[in-house]
Amino acid sequence: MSVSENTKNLIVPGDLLTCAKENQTIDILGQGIYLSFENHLYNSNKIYPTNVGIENYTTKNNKNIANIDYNSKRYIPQQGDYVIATVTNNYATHFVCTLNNFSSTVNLPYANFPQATKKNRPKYENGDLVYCRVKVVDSDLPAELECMDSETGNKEGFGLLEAEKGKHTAILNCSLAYCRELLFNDKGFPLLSDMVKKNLSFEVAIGINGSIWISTGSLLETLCVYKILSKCEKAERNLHAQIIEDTIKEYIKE
Amino acid sequence: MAKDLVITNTERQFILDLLANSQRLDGRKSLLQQRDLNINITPNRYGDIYLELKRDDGSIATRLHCKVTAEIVKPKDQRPFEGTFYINCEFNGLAGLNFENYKVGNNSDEFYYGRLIESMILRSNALDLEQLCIVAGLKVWNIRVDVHVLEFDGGFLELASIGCMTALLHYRRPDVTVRNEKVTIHSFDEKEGVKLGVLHIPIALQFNLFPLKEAAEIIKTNTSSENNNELVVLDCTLKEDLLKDGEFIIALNKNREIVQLNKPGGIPISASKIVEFSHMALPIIEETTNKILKAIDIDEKKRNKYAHLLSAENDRYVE
Repeated sequence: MSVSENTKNLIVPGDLLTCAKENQTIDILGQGIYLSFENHLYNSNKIYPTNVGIENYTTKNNKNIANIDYNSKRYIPQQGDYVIATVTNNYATHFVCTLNNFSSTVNLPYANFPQATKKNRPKYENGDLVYCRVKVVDSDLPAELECMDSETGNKEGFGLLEAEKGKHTAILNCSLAYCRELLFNDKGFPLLSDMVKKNLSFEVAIGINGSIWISTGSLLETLCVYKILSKCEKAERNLHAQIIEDTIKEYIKE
Repeated sequence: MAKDLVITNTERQFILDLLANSQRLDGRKSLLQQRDLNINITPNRYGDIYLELKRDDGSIATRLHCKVTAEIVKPKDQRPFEGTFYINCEFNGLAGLNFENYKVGNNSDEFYYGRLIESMILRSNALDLEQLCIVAGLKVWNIRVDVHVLEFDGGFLELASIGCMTALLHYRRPDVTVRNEKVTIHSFDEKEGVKLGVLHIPIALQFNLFPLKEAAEIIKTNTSSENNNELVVLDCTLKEDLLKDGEFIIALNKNREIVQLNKPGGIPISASKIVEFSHMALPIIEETTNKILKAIDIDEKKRNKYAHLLSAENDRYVE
């Protein structure tokens, strides 16, 4: 790969991407990059940046991946994303869910659950949270979610996020880049590990659509974790340790 | 039509559990604690007020803009000696994605609370309308207050009532002289503006009620025997506001006069609670009134920096 993985330029919409400058073929496009189909027949498609951010190149299994790191609060579904959806309605064939407040709805068909039959359909209520994956994205149709690994047919940890008996749960909405950092970059952004080191025990599910689901044993602990996560979103990395300590002191005094 | 904020079951349960334990999601430690109020008066203008509610971490929760304007109109036929007064409340798209532009009335909140404040001011005679008369039956002043919500996280009623009263107290209309039914309006350069006749300062306060039991259960059991069926919360955030089950609105002034009481639906409360709420409201209203008067006082001093130089009065020793 001629474009090295260390290329980290600030890209503004209208700029040429470094890979486009150097005629590098990209196999997988990540967020923030748009593929234009203007010359589809001649196989000379162009890629353009759609967001302001830092360009990022990686190679995995001999496939070149490009994406732009940017932050926003608006989630646009992309295939293969792990998300936390809220059920808002149900029909004969599918649930209607939202991934973001005020955004367009997505569908979660009953067929996309493990061991789905016509009679065996999941009983979710409106307002329930479901951990699932984006299966199909189409520009003209609502995106489709799935609650299983469609290759194996197993549950793979997807499903309803509900409070077990005696547990308290909360849901936190935050920015997309923060969720990505928490989910994929535990080495460079070890906030969750730092919290565990301070003897906070909690269960967490992070959706890439900007939702974090928390479950702990007591109400104050849940509030404490909620507060730490929401405060650290806006604070710099070197202040996180202090925030964790202060918040624990504030809510859990022992 | 704009979509509403979706509150998930998890969040609902979490917020209600927190309230039952006297905790708030935005970091307040008591159900009766209110957020910090900031009153900013725009310099070089009359009756142009920005109000802010600040969270504990310093970010702005709700921001409001109140502006008074006056124009000369023909009075109503039934009341030829009185000026007119109108409040226009607007939540626009700026305040959040759940609001739409130019659609007053589809959101019941702004319409309902706007009317409430207008009737609070008019029926208690807080604004003297007879002073607004220029020529009886022909020309009176029409005072209009525009309330715009710029950022919204609950607490609209209190802020709007504070904003309206501050703006009315601060506003000066141009002076007019009438000679042989010929009306001359003087600009501010010619003659100092005339303050509006604000006779007292009523301020509304909303007590939000959250049920501790199911509503049907409360109606079945005798309400008078049990007093603690509900949680009382002051200054709700937007999410708490969506989860509440009833409200009690009281408008008071500093002189211990109840101007308005309103209990539209929701869970039932016992009659003795009304007296309790009034007593709870009084110190809060007093504090707010002092804040308003102080903000206006500070602004007045800034405007009249050179007043003591121009005055012919002698300095007096004041003990």
